[in-house]
Amino acid sequence: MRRAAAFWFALVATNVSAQVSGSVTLVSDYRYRGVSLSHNRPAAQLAAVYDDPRGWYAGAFASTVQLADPSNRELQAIAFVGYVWRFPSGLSSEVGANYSAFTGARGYSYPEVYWGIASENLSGRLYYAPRYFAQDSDAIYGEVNGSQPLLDRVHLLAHAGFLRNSSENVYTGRAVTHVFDARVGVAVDFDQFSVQLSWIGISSASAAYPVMGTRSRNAAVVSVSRSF
Amino acid sequence: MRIVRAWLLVLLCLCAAACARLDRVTGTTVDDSSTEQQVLVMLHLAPTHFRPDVSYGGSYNARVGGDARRRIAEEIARQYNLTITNDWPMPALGIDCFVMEAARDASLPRLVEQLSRDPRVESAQAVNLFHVLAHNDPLYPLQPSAKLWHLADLHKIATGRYVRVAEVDTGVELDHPDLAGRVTLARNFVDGHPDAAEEHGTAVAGIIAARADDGIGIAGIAPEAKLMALRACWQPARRDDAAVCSSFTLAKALQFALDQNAQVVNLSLGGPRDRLLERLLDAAAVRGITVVGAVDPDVRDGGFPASYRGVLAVAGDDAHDAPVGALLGPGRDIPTTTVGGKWGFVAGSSFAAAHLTGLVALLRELAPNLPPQQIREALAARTMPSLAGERHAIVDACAAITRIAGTCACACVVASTTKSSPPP
Repeated sequence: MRRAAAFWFALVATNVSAQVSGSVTLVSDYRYRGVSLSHNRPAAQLAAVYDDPRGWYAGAFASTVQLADPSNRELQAIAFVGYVWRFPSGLSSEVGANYSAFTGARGYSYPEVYWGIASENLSGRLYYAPRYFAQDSDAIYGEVNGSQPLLDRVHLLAHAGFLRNSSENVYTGRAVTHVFDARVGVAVDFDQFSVQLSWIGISSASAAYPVMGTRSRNAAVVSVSRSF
Repeated sequence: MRIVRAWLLVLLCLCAAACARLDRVTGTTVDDSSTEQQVLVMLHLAPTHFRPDVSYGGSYNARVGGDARRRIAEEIARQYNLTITNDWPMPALGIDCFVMEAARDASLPRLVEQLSRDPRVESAQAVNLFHVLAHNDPLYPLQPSAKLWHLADLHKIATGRYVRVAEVDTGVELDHPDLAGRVTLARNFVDGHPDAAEEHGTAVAGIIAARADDGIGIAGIAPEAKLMALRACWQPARRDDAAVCSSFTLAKALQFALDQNAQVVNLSLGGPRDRLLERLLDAAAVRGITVVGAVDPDVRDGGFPASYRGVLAVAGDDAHDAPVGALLGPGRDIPTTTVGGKWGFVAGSSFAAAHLTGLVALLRELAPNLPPQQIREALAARTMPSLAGERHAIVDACAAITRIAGTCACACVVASTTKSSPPP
């Protein structure tokens, strides 16, 4: 961990044209691909991202979560690294990998790789995890995201996702292996703050997800972020 | 819990309403026309990529990372004794463009050179000024030039339907009787000069897309095109038709046109070469957008942007010494829409360019994916003798439409007997 931190600071310090940005967020319900990882309760999140002008990027994200035992508040951390390039047409494409780790519920930690393509207001990404949430089977998640400006500071947000998981749910024993999730919302940007209100839905609360915590398939979620 | 969520929803709605109001009240505070000591400082803008903090929904726009870029811009401003007055992300070029103002006694060329060498800066340049290319001349006889193109016959084949045309100009009178409902989108990119209906933009808009068959006024060349009125130029004086634009306002408008997937862009203006605008024109060319530029008659090569590669340079049909490669369009005695719900006659290469923009919109309707080079070839393939009787010739609209549509556009006898002259 120390080596990683030292590498991070060396990277940032030696490249003056690189940019480091991030955010602090409070969210009423942390929904990860449609499933609540915070037991339908509020969560606090922190993120930092390094962007190199040549296209490399790396970052870390942390969020409070409540998984197997709802009485314990734990942490999820996602470290990620990738490379993005822009086409003359305005489209961009990226490849990357991330590792999701949990404190207290370390058995859920898993790596994932992804490939994506994006335009200014639309993006699509395909993820592959050989051991999704540390299960014995692999999973593919695909998503399409859109953002449409309504006013100068107001954006309409939309997301549709699809998870194909080849194993049955370890908790419910059901063999539902295809799950859809969706999100629509509106974001209002202030100078450094962003407020988002979203509706998030999932096709099956007890489907191919190995974590507990989802009591309702649908939720209205509010978040307040401060960027830096 | 439901009550809490309901309250949060109400709170968000209030915030949204407050924000919208904030935009209207304080959105334009910086004067884009004070360009004398301004420099454009471009910082790197990373493409959209995976970020868990932007939510798994991946909602993402150019604001993301904006604080980091702002911090770097502020450091640069402090170091070079500059004041940041504005900024505008331009994803088409992968840059965030900051406008910075230098002290009155600062040497701008030296400053630009220093900034260009700074590793934090992607590029830097001074702000250039541009002007619209038009004049009113009451001595010209009243002669509708559009008749040269057999417009009514052309409209039986194409009207520019669904073609997105961006007019980068001064403000357009949106409620003019001949333009009502014709402008699908209007944006003001000039800070410091309140949005207003202005002469040049209104006249150009009328030529491109005025309503046809409505019993009043004129018929635009492409009366069913989706016209975007992008105000990047302004009239310094209400009664003076002369208008100016800056590198920054034009760049903002061009970036917007790219965002909106414009198929044709009209630039009836001219000025010095400008690196930022050149890059945006390159981005437009790569995306297959036809950019039409008016030739500046006072500059040997037609001026910028008309002389830039990929731009369709258009001079008026009375031009005596149009640059090589320029096309001629009707450029005098043009009846068109004017401010105050009126009509008047105008002349100048601005309006010749507007004619060609409308014509390109007709071609685009017939062949939406036709590369700009083939559009140029279709327009230059057959020309008619110009009024000036010089070596240049006016674009033959009927022949161009016939070439693209593959069928006789106007009275075939006209098209077949029209004198053909080689392109200049």
